[in-house]
Amino acid sequence: MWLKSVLSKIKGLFMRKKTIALALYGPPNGGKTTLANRICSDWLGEEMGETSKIAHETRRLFRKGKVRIVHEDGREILFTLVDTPGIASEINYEEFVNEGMDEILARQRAREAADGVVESIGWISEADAVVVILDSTCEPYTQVNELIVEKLNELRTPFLVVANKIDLKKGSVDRIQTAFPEHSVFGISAKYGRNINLFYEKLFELFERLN
Amino acid sequence: MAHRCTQCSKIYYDDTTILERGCVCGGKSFLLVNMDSPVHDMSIVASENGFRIEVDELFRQSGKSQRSNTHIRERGKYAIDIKKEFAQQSK
Repeated sequence: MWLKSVLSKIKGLFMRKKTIALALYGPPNGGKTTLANRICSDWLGEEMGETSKIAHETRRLFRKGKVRIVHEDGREILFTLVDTPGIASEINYEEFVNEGMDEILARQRAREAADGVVESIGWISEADAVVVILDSTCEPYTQVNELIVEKLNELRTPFLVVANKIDLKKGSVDRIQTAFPEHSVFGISAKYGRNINLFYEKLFELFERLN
Repeated sequence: MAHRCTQCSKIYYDDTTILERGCVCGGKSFLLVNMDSPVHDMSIVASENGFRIEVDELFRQSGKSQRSNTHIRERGKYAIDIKKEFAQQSK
């Protein structure tokens, strides 16, 4: 009997499930880091990264381990949160200069952003689950959005499509939903926490699809 | 680093000589080539002695060959073939 128990414990050590990696993907300035900060503030009491109105603020992958979300019914999920650089096909330093950035820093930012895009795409196959975050004030029919969703479907990675920035006047969940009719899109405001409980609820549903 | 003539694509491994006499085809413009990486668009960073020297910034920074889908239009302007980048990813 004790031998069975010992064997079970040894098996448990070697068969331990790796921590689930939940990655946030999307185009630049969709609110990935704002959402990451919201999740980390809510459950860890600390923020994850800097945000900016200038695109490509996040230019490399950021990971936050052991994020535990507890449901009011007692269920809990544990994961490593991965904030990724926004994916874009064109990066132009002039865009940053127009926002008031020094030219040298703008060129450097552009180069780092180009590296970040490659790193971001290169990591997509490593994610166990993904939240695709789109700006609900922007046109969703883009090559970037299409390619992200297409790749996730191909990889069979479970994912959510979230329409962020619904606090803004121009924000429209319907706009995003129309572009992704096969997915149940829902709106949030990561900045102000609007619908954040719905987001956590959906996260639990997403994790159930992993089992 | 080797130099590649932009006119005939001939590659020279001795860069000091080539800057003095130019290419056998008469070309006077060269690209600095990282032989570990595929050659793609490069940006002009220096011009001296009538010769144009161009350097791929990303290659210069990383020295790696994994940036073949990133094209430098000019310094600070990049085009990334994200379709190819995505296509290279698999579980």
